[in-house]
Amino acid sequence: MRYPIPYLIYIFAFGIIPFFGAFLILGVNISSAFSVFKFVPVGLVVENTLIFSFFTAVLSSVLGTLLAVAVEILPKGKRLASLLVMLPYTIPFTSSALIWTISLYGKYGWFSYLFHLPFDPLYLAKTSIWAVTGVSVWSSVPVSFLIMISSLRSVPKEVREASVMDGLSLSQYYSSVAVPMVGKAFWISFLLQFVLAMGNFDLPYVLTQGGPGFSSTTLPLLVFDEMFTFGNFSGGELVAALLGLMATLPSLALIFLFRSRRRKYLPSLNLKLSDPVFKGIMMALMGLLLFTLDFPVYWMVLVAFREPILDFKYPPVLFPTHLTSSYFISSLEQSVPYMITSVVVGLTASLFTVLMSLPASYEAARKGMGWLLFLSIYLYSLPAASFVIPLYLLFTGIGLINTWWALILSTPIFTATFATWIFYNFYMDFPRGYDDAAQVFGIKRKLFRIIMPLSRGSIFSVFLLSFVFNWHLLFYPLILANTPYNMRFPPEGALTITIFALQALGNESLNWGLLASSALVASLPVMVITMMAVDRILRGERGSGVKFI
Amino acid sequence: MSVEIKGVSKRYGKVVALDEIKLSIEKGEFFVILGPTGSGKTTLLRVLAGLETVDRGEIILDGRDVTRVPASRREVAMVFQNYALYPHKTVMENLTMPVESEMSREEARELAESIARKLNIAELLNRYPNELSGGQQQKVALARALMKRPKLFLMDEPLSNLDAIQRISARKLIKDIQRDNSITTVYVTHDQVEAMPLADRVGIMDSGRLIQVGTPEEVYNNVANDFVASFFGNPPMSLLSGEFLGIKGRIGIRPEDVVIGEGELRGRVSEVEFWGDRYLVYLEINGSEMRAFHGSRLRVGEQVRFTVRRYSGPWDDGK
Repeated sequence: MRYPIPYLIYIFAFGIIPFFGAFLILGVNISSAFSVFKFVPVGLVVENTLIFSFFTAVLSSVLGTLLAVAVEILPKGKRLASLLVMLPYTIPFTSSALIWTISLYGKYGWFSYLFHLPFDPLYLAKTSIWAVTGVSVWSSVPVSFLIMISSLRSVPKEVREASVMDGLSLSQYYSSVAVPMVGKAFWISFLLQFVLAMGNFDLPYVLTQGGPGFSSTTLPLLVFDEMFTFGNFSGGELVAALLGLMATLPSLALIFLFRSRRRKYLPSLNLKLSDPVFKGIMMALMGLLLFTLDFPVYWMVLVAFREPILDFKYPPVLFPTHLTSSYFISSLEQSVPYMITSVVVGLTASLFTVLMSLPASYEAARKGMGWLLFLSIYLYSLPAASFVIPLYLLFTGIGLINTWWALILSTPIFTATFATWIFYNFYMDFPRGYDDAAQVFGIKRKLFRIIMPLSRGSIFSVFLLSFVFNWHLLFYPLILANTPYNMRFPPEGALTITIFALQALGNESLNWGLLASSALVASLPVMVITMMAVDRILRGERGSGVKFI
Repeated sequence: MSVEIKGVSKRYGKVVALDEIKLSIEKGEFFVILGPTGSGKTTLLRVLAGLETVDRGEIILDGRDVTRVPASRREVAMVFQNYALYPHKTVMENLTMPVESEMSREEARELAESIARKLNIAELLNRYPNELSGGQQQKVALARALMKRPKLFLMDEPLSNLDAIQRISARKLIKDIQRDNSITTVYVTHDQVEAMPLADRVGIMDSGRLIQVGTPEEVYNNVANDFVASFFGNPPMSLLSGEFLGIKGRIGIRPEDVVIGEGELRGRVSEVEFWGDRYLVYLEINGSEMRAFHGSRLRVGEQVRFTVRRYSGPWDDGK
């Protein structure tokens, strides 16, 4: 019980205390806290949050499952198809939101044009929450797909062969054997997406700022609004506490799901289609979905590299002409200070993440400390908004606000908890023989000399994923920083690359080229890294060491 | 069902898994394919099942060419090494699934119950596979294979997940089922201790080739080459240079063909193992080692006289 101590101290200081701190601060000024109800239709905001989370969870899990099945039945090109499905995942929420802003843009956006939307759904009170949810589904499908395809892979090939011997068609195999067999993974995907969507601040913030009115405001956005728009910290705290409590329910469900030992999670459907028909349907579906998943990325690159005279055209110009790299290059130049912050914070925080969570999960897995896994999953799934106010006050108090330190210290609460989840599963399968041998031969510092070298693959994957996650963050840097890095020593200012991308929206006249370039600049470095990490997981290469269940 | 395999070849990239296999198996026969890991034995079984296609050659079942017929229409059933039971379905559902398109639900349930009674698993029908012991799971896997009333039974190392004690009873059960239903059976294993008691005939495979086919007795008494010699028998033959008998080349000697205590040849006892009814003695002769059975315990280091009653070979040293 030595190894988990640093990790426990950390999650206590930056997770548990801020979470409960929220409730304490709330008590300080209760009357102004409840003024929220006077000025804001909280009922509507809660309803929006639930619509957003529920539909994100259902649709991304269902579509992710269908895509996983479609990729599995591909005779070849599985890897390419998988990477194409994963493409939206490589893009930070901020950039995704920017791309969709110019995809849904009235009659000029490609999406509105191709799917005959007569208006921009983001600008109507009736549709805005649905449009935001749609974008959320788009960016969440890849994670569900990843969970489902790695679970489908774990179905022994003999089971498929037994079904062939039994004369089951492909559609029967998937509907009554394979998918029900990995039903647990489906519900994990559902609940995970549900809690993550509940805490999603970035999408509604960038797409609509919660408007028109409060029609697309969700709880995390309201926390931010209360703090920085209305200056009502107690009110923000109240909303944060409400959000924390609401998110607890699905988080607990997720934890119970992990522990549950049921055998049936999904009903068997017994869908009888002939193989060519089933394959045809799945391929058509995959084609449509892949187009919707990947075209926005193409659109981003296209718009970033062309003359602005092509932007507000009807019908929109969908093919590359009038190319120029001037917007991209100027974006790239301006982004340097932000980029430096993101790189420094990302690397340091990821290193910190691995160093804390690896020893903790190793010992937890060995000693059967399941509670550590569950505490980690719980903290991971809690919305960022429910920790942030006490942290803001803390960093202001000790003078670390607007420094790299504030981000390096505060952001691992998301990555270290996720890393613990992955490492814990990894060490559950790690052969005990290595420990026993180290013990028998009296090898000193076995963690560093034996265990860590043998976990290289897993460490590498976790490091990449942490870095990517850190890069994507918007909410914390938005609150804990306010100027870009000053390019001097001692370093000051800590605005990250996602905020740089966001600033393209702030310009009075909307410049598509600038906007798409900023989105692209913010995405490009992590797109490559994410593809590497995802490819490792997909290849299921023994060393990748990533298992969700 | 009679099985005829005509010149079947199969390669994976550069690896030749099956090399011109020719074999015919008679109706009702229990045929064991024996070979080490990677010898192609499982590929041969999967080709029969229809789970793999062949590059060349034909597979004839009961006179019908099934080379291109899908697995489910070959009237064959397969028992997998890890049983491949569906974990999210009860034993009853596992049993009825193979026949759901052929008969009504009621008929399927009745059939499942009658087969389950025969195999003594009737009380397990409402359980899930992971609530069963290894032996019980194996019975369920056998029952599932019987549901289709197959004409050909394919078994891929079905005993390898059982412990030594369970294996003996499971082996008997498999043989009983096969005999009661007189189902032609092809059984793949790497363990000759399984092969000898089960097989009507046995085929020995190495590197994608069928090396020798015959009854266990024929193969035991007349090995085709040094590979079979080193593989068949418990323990297998000792392979050593025939020089000490004045023979050129390598020879194989079964431990029971060495008589210790008489004759002109001499060797040193280097190790003794207790085998229950007798002892296995390791003799050192001019630097090579030979195994022999003997009725009483000898001292390690002792010099003994012995004679060799029979040997196989000689085979070329170079091979």
